[in-house]
Amino acid sequence: MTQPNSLPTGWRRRAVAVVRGLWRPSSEAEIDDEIRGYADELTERHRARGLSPAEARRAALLEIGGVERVKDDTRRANPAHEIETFGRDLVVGTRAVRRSPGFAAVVIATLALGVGATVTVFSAMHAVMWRALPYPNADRLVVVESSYGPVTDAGLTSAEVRNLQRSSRTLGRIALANGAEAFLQIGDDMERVAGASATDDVLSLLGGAPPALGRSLVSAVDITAAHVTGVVISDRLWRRIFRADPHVVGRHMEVNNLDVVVVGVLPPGLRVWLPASAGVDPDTDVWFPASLDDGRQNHGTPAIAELVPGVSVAQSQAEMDSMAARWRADQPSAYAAADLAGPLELHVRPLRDVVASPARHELSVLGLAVAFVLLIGCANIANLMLARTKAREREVAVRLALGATRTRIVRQLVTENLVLAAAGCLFGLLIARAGVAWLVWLRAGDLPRGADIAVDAASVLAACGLSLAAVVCCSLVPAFRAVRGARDEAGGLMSTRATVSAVGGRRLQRLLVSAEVALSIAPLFAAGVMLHTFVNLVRAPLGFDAADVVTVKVGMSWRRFPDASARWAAYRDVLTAVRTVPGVEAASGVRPLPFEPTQVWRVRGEAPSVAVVAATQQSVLPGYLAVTRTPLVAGRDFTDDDIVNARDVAIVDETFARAMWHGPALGRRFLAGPRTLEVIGVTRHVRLTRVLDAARTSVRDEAMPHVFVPFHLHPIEMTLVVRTRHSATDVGPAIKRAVEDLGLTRAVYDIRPLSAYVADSMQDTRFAMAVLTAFAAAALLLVAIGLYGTLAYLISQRTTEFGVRLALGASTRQVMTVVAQEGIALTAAGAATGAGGALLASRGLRGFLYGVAPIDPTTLAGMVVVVTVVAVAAIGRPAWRAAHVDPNVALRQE
Amino acid sequence: MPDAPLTLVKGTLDLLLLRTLALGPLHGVAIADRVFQMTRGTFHVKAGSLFPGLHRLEHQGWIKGTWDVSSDGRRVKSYALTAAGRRQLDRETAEWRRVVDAMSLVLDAK
Repeated sequence: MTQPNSLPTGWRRRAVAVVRGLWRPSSEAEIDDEIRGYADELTERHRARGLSPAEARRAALLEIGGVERVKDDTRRANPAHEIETFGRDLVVGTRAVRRSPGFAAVVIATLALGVGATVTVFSAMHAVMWRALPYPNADRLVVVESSYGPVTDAGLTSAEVRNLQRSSRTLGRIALANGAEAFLQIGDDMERVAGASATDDVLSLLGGAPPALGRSLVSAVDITAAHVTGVVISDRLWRRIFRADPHVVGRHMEVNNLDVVVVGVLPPGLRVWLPASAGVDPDTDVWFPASLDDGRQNHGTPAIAELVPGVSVAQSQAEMDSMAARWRADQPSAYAAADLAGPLELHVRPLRDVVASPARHELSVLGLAVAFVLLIGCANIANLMLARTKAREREVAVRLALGATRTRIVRQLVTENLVLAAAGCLFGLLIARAGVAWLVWLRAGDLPRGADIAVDAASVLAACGLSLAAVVCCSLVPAFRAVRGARDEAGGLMSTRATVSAVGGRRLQRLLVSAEVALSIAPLFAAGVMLHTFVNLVRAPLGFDAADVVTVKVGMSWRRFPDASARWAAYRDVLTAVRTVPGVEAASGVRPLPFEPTQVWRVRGEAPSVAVVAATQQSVLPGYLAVTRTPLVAGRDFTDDDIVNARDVAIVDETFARAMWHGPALGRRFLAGPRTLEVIGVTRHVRLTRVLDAARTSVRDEAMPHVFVPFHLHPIEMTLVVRTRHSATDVGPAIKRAVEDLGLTRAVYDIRPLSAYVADSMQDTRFAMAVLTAFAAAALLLVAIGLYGTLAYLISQRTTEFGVRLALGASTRQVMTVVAQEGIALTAAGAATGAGGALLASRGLRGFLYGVAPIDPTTLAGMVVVVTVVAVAAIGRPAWRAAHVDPNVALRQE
Repeated sequence: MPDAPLTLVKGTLDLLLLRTLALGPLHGVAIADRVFQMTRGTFHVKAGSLFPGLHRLEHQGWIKGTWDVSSDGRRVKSYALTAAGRRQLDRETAEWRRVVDAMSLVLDAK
């Protein structure tokens, strides 16, 4: 006796059968023939027993049961039948789609728009926020920072990093990196490239070790007597100035007027993603060694560290909390004193999140907006499918009567829609490609890792999966409804069109249309307030005149000009030289330039005042106010004397005066760090922070106070500001030559008009506005399609009713009114709900706005009007058609 | 007159069909008739189980269908047992006997 276990194992036999089934599927025609033959033979037999041909046929069919069901079960006998059925449904589906091109076009367009917008935004979010950094152990890289009350992102000192290295059990390697300038002497030319100083572990944490050539930085070897002697260079620089010399290690170069040796070349394509506050350029070309034993006391550089394997960020944070508590207890003067902005706290955050944080808010808002567009699209598709399936209820009833199972019919209807979904995805991906190109063109370079934004496999999979799922869900409900509807109305075959359109279905459709209108309000409102913000920004007074001002960065060696007076002498010479250039009317210097990253200063009023004011500050040379035409309302500008005599003076703007003293400021004094400064001048309010920066410091940009301090108080590298009627390109070379002739031995670079910085400052707003406007347009378009499609369908279902009304003497106008009323009621209900939702959603926009309240009634009202106008336009044609129904034709349909 | 037709016990249909075809190739109606006769009216295989059953056996490779012209000139698909089908029939027959024997032992136990 053969034992069952001598057979091929179950799954194998099944697999073989499936393959065989696919290879030789039982053809539809064969099954038809076979069963028809069977029925014929039975019929023949009944006739032979004396029944009439019709009775015989009937008896035979009764005996068989449902022919469709028998066929279906027979098909199922094929192990490959699932695949086969799907294939057949696809063919039938494609045919059905071709039969109603209008419906197909609308569904495909809706899906394409939804998928296109979603993939575009998802690609950006993926590239910027979610994708792992391109470093080994990227998931374990974290940033450690300190904060003192409201002063956040305060970084760590070298000593603090040493301390953590000694005592932390959750952090492995810890390192500091800091942006630095690198002036290369290449032949006779001085060129500025991006540089960074890094402690020993930085490059290995970022995947730069082992290097392509040579070795990584070792501070103990590459720093001799406090001077840098060895540097690591990028692959790019190696190819450019060393012509990819394989023996470059050991060659000398002059950087920042120092003779250094190249000790290593980094691997190609390495980009550096560090917290923005580190100031390290992604394309850093020269890496300087830095030691953790330098006793550097200044904060501000965030530490990067590697979590010990198996340790979570939360566990590390818990350790840092207790560490901070210990430091506060051990050294209260440094970490918990009353004159600090607040007590010390330490924070651990994933490096990826910190790198993405400048763009996080912006992208999240776009993500939210696109979600609305997608939801509207889904409502649209659900609606269209509901309408279409309803219209096919007769077909469904016929097939049910012929014995097709419910599952079979639902499956067929869903597969049909999958054909549409696939086409929609395809077009959507084309739109997404264009959309991503557009995003990159708009500003991707400014977003961290923005250049990497691309339609990648993850986004495509996510978006297509999502839309396929959405389509299946959208089509399941109507499909089940159709099946049930056809069944419930016993004898669906006999029902007329008028009764088929059940009230329940129409209610769901109305609800969906209202929901669409409601959903469209939020993206429209968001776009509206951004537009408003942009207009406000363009119109808002800067407090200075950026026209006819050219800015020039001038490098300066701190070793050669070690103190304030030496630097002042150098800048005085520079300004004198620049002023002699033809076309130059006036020249001065400032740092930072308006809208460059700036630190917020916290200053207090002189006793007995207790006011504390957070203010932006700029270090300026005499004459800056005149060059930028910043109007003084009281007092005077700085003079050379103030600087030569190192007077403790300052110029403040009106906002500062108001915030500090609520009145005249001239001659009053305030405390800034160890100094007490006397106000010698008051200007009009000046605006020089970006909207988003202002949001981060939680002070409204419109009201941010400002202080100008004379150069000697902050003797940092100045940017020249030159008033001239010539363009930057015309006058630039002459200025560059004039400065270089002085032999400062550093490069002159970034010659740009001041207005370019002003334009850059609106970049964030312009970007958000452009993208949100695009989404709002998409939302509006979808709503119009949805309203039009649904109303057209609802009206076509009521053709008979309108025919009867017209036949009974209703006027065209009356019928149009009935239809229009229905449409407008739906729109109004949706708009009212949407307005409420938009107000809630707009909280997310708060940080982006300028001169607009997040709850801006004018914009909201405007957007409701826009939606209503679009809705009325969409209602118009169906209403007109309803009113011009030919009563004869309509009644004959009955 | 036999009792009312029984519903088929699951798994018996395959055996029934294989056994019927072991006598020679037959087409749909003829198979149903033959089963009806052989079981003296106990089993009446209807189209709803007959065709799915035949196709299942065909996909397993146990029977093979070919299109013929019947005696009265109709195009019919008749099925014949394959070599693998014959082996399967032997296996299933043996198993069925064991089941019957075992059941009889239980039911006849005094």
